[in-house]
Amino acid sequence: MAQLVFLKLAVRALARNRRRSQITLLAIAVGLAGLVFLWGYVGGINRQMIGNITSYLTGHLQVHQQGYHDDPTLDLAFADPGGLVARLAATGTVAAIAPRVEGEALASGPEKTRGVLVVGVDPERERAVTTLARAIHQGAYLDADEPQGIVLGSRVAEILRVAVNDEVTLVTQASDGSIGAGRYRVRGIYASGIDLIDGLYVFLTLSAAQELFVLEGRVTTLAVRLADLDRLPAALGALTREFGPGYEVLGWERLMPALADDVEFHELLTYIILFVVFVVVALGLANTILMGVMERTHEFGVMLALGTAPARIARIVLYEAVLLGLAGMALGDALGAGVVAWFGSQGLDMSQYAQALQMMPGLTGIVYPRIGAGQLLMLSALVLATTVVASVYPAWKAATLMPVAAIRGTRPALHARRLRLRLPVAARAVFARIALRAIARNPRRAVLTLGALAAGLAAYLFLGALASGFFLQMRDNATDLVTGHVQIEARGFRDEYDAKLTLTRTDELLARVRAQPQVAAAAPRLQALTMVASPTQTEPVMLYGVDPEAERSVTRLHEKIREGKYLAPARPSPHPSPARAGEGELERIPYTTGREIIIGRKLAERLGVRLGEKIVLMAPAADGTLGSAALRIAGIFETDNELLDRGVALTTLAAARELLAVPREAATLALRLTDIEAAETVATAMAAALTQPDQQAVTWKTLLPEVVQMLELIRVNLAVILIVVFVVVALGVTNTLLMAVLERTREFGLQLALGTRPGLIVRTVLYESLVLGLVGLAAGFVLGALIVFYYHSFGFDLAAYAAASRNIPGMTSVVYPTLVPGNVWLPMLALLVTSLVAALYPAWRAAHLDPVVALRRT
Amino acid sequence: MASVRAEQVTKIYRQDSIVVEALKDVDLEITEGEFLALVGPSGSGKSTLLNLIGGLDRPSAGRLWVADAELGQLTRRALAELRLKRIGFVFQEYNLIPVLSALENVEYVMLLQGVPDAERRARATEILNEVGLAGLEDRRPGELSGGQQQRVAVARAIVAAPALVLADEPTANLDSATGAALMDLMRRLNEEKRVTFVFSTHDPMVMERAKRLVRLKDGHIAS
Repeated sequence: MAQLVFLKLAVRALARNRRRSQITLLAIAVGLAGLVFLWGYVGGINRQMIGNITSYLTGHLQVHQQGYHDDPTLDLAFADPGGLVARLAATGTVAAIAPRVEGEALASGPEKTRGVLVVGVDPERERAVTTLARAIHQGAYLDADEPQGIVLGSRVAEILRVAVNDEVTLVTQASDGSIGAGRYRVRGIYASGIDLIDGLYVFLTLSAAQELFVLEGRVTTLAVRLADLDRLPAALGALTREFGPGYEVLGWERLMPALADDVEFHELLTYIILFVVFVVVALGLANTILMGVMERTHEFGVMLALGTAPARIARIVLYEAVLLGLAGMALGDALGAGVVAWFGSQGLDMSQYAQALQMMPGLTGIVYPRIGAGQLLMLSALVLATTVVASVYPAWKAATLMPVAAIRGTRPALHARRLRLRLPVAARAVFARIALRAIARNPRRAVLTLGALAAGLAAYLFLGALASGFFLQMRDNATDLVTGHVQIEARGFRDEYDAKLTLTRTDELLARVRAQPQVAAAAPRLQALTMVASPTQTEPVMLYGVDPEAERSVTRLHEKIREGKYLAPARPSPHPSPARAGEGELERIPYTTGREIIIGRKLAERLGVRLGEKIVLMAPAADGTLGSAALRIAGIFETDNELLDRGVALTTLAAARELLAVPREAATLALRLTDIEAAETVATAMAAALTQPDQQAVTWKTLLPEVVQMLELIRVNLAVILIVVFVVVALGVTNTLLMAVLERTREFGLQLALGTRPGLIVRTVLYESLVLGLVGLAAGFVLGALIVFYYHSFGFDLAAYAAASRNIPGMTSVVYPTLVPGNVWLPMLALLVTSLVAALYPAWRAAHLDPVVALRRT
Repeated sequence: MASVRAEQVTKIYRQDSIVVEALKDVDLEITEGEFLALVGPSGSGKSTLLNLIGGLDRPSAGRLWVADAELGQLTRRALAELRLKRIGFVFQEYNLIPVLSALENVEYVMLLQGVPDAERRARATEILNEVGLAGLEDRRPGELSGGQQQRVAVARAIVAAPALVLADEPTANLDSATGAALMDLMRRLNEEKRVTFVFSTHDPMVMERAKRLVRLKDGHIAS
């Protein structure tokens, strides 16, 4: 019964202090809504990435015969697809099933040939599982009525130089060992925006593919779409049990491990961001609640004087906090979920801010935020807990007040810790003085406001520095290890790494490039997609033929050698090559030390080879033959990057020339600049200076689009976070100042009564805000800088929280946050402006008080 | 010459559906140098009349002149100017600015008037001396007793040499000895500096010391 009385008291107290209750409620609601939106936003990006990528090609899961995923041969095709489809459908967990035949083939246009992956699909069934049909941008999708129709990716079409209605020939080794071949008419060309897909996959009807591969009704793959992607783990378990050991049921994470890594990494970042923003929100909340209670000292003094037990006062305060917390929670959930739902259906168009976002695998410029009930519940619980915890201290304070002192509004001597500001001569203006002393009069409130502001800035600086550090590291690692800062190449070279597309007069060009003022070093290279074979295994590898000496000054892979040594410089030839060499004839350099190769650790493991052993390389040579060479493994490097450690190898220029039958020239020049920031300028200047029209200079941004995309994504996310932090901080500052103004209603009324102009009152409140803003920002800067400095020194080890993605060149698991000065000023200035703007309403209120009413207020 | 003139001044307060006629057709003339007390029971309209004279509030009907200016013609800004230059206030609750010291509180009005630093300081120090607060200039209101605070308030009200000082129950929060001393102080200032004083009160001691009494009852002037 007594409980109810106090609950009633709490409700009445909230109703009576209506404005204060509203402010606190708003703080809770907006804080929670901000968190909900942020989670919904990043969650939406993740979902979209998965959703889009799986919908283009893989589906949510696939069923193969056991072992097909590791070794996709036609031998492992299902004999009875119809029966399997029926069994799958019977399980009730799947939304759609598409049987497919997948196999490799050589596709030829009138002039060009390229290796492709052929996917034979049932057009109608496929539409229900994947959305590639919607990505057709020329011609039409497959039709069962035209079995000889083929759909190509835009890159494949470009490389083969074919258009809609042109003829394409496919040649392959069929399942029975014979040579399968067929002629097809290009029905349509699709563009998913993902190079890997657009440059590799071609689509036939299922029957045409079965004929090409001589599969006679068999299929290799069943691609499945689930009704709800969130139920994937359950579906995988159920289907694995249903089909038994003869089959493998694989989710998209297994089918596309690189994407799974990306998503996992992005999720990890999400949690870091949410945690940091949560700290800001929690501080803002605690701030508002603390002040709401502390302002009522007088009231509690009266209650104590009337004989209310201290514990009961504490209870009232706690009840109030719980009530406000619950109401704020409901409001915040409604607000946050509402905003998420609105943008979730309308889409949040970020394409203006990040063009590259549209190129990121699976992403488009429009983000659809989404949040689950579980996430909403978790955030709500956290915010409610924060509210209650934040009220414990003021509850205790309220209960232990000295009644007389509380009523009279003076603090007991014990707590009289008023700051006496001895003001500098400069601050003589009385309004500045009033503002400063008003801040000093309530040091606790000042500290809380400063804390909220400082935490906001520090949080932003930390996140910004983490992102900058991450990006700079990624950029520097990637350019240091492989690409260099700028590359000069023959136009079109990177399409197929065609050995015929070399530079001309390399030496002359090299000399000219090296003479440029901003070029620190330049190295000539050959580059080719090769197959590397050990006695047991064959792997595709990007081979670079380099001049070891020059290369050392451009890239730093030599620092990553963990076993053996880097390539030795070619020994000077005892018979200097005559100038007439060239003209189709190979320049014979005695490269006794040149027949060496260095490979990554992962590649060595996959090939099952060790240091000193020989591996065989094969690559299409410039003369049209298949070049091959046996090279000794001189060194093994480890970069902590999956892509490099598995897919890159270096040999000497001489060995590469022999392999590729390129007599003199280099395919590319890799440049290291004195300042990477100048890459664009240098590339532009260089392009203008190149004498050959078919040569071009490109920057690392072109060479490493993944890095640029990652940067864009981070940049856009930071902007969104910054906005949320701003809203929370602005609200906190407005709250504090509004309370400070409300508390001093009488004082302002008096000043007005004495004839003070309203404008001067506004100025006083703005001064307060300015001082709080400046000090808070200074504190936030110091705090943020210290946190950044700490992690900059010791590194922020993401690997501790997740198996970090190594599938983006240059990305490593330990991030060293870096404060970029350019990233500091903007948020600081913006926060300062925010806190001034936030002060406008309280200032306006103070200036427009009715003196009579204000003076009557006690 | 009339310092204050009220013609048929009426003030009606409305709160929701309740209408309160605080003042009804009040005619009053206060000449320069008067020491006048508005007396009457609680709710008789004393404070309302003071607020109207001070330009803190506007009448619902009727006209009011203070120092030859008709208040109804003045803008909010001009009213503030009038309060600043011609009127001093003493409130029942002292109403000092808590963050400013005694000296700074007295200086505040002069500061708004733009009195130069040195002169301001000198006059404030002198007036504090006059009201018997020498040596307490640096104390903040919270460090002064009620009587001391009220003296600071009086010092603040008269320091800028206003034509008129309005005091709303100036002794209500003071003990009788302190109250009497304050009244003597104001009386002395009235006589020496010819400042017009108008206060509201229901303190017999104050009435005793007033040169003229105006009795209000239910919003009317009774005598």
